[in-house]
Order: sequence, then structure tokens, then C-alpha cells
Amino acid sequence: MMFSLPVLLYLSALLFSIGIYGVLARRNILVVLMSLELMLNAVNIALVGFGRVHALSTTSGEHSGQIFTLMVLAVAAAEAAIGLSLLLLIWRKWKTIDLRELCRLSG
Amino acid sequence: MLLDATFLGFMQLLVYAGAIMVLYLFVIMLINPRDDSLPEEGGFTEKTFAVGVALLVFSLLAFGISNSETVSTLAEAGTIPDLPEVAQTHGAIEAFGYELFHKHLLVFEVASILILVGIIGAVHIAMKNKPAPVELGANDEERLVNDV
Repeated sequence: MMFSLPVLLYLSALLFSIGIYGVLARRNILVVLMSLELMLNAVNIALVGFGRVHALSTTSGEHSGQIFTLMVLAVAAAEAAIGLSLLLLIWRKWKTIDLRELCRLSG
Repeated sequence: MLLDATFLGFMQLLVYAGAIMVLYLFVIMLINPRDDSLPEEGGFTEKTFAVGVALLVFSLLAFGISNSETVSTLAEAGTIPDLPEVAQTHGAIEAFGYELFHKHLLVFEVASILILVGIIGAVHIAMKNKPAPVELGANDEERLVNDV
């Protein structure tokens, strides 16, 4: 199977837009965190595609796109861990996973 | 393979199916929400707004992609496995690791520190019985007892 670069970029843009919809429309913190992961992965697709296309024309190494993607993966893992532990804390305190309840945090 | 990113594909599987999905399932199991404790989703206005913003972002990105000279030049040159011609081992674990630990070692170390901080932060945030931040003196304890 072959991919051309625009197909990958459109796929990436589509996934990113779905992620934006999830972050804006949903009120469940779990779903919002999942949508954030979706947006990060959309960026990953674009990074791998561009990295492959520019593999030989870059001075920073053949795999620099993929290594950038690996770093995004690390950030995504850290973000999931911190976000979910915050969610756990909010659940213990207020017994809710509703994003609107977080406006109580303003004091 | 498809995008010559064999190792990265396996890493993606490992991290998402093996770690992040299990983390999500574990948190869902821990909080064990019932149907009535799930938040009420937004109404028509909110959803329309979100769809509008998402469509706006998508159309801007699509406009950028379809009008970019770089992208069209690259697309005319061929599909991705043929363009540009790289070594057979491109994206395999050996070539990937060699480059990661030679050219991008500092970034790798920074990422490991980030994950370490993330782990410690997550454990500390989610801890149930936190130890007292400061040792209380005798007077403070008396005052606390009186307050209660």
C-alpha cells in the first residue's frame, strides 16, 4: 500500500479536527483527555510523513521526524498520567467527572 | 513497511495499547462511575459551536495543504515508500536507535527526566494519605486539638 503526502496530511487534519470537537463539546473529563491524545496522534502522523519525505534532505539525521514523534509519545504518556491522577483527585473530592464543576476551583 | 517507521509503529502500539489504554481502564475501574454520575452533555448550541470550530480548523488546514507548493512538489515526485530512496533498514530498530543515541542523546535524556517527573507527580497527586508537610510543635498540636 502506498501513501502520498497529501493523503497523510488530510488524515492528520481530520483527526485533529475530531479531537478539537471532542475537547470543545464533551463535558466528561475522561473523554476530553482521550480527545487530547487524538490531537497529539494527529500531529504524529504528519510528523512521520514529513520526516519520511525529508529523510535525505535534512542535516539533523534521517530519522529526526521519527525521533520527534517518539518525544511527542513521551509527552503524551506523561500528560495522560498527570491528567488521570488529577481526575482521580477531583473524583475523590467532589464525586464528579464533569468539567463544568471545575469552575469551583476559582475559589 | 508502510511509512518506513517499523520501530515507531511498535512503540505506538506498546505505549497506547499497553500503557495508556490500561491507565484509562484502571482509572475508570477506580472511580467506577454509574450512569447518573456521568455529566450531562451539552445541548444543541454547544455542539454546533464545537462542530463549527472543528470544521473551521479542518478547512483552514485543508486549504493550507492543498495550496502548499512544497506539498504539491513532494506529491508529484511519488508516493511515500519510493520517495526519497533510503536504505532498506530505515526506521528499523538498529538504525533508529543508532541515530537516537548519537545525534539526539540530549533530547532522549530530557524526555526521560520528563517522564520521571510525570511519574512522581502523578503518584504524589493521587496519593491518598499524604504525610503532613511540616512537623507540628507541641503548641501547634494543642491549638489544633482546641480548634477541633
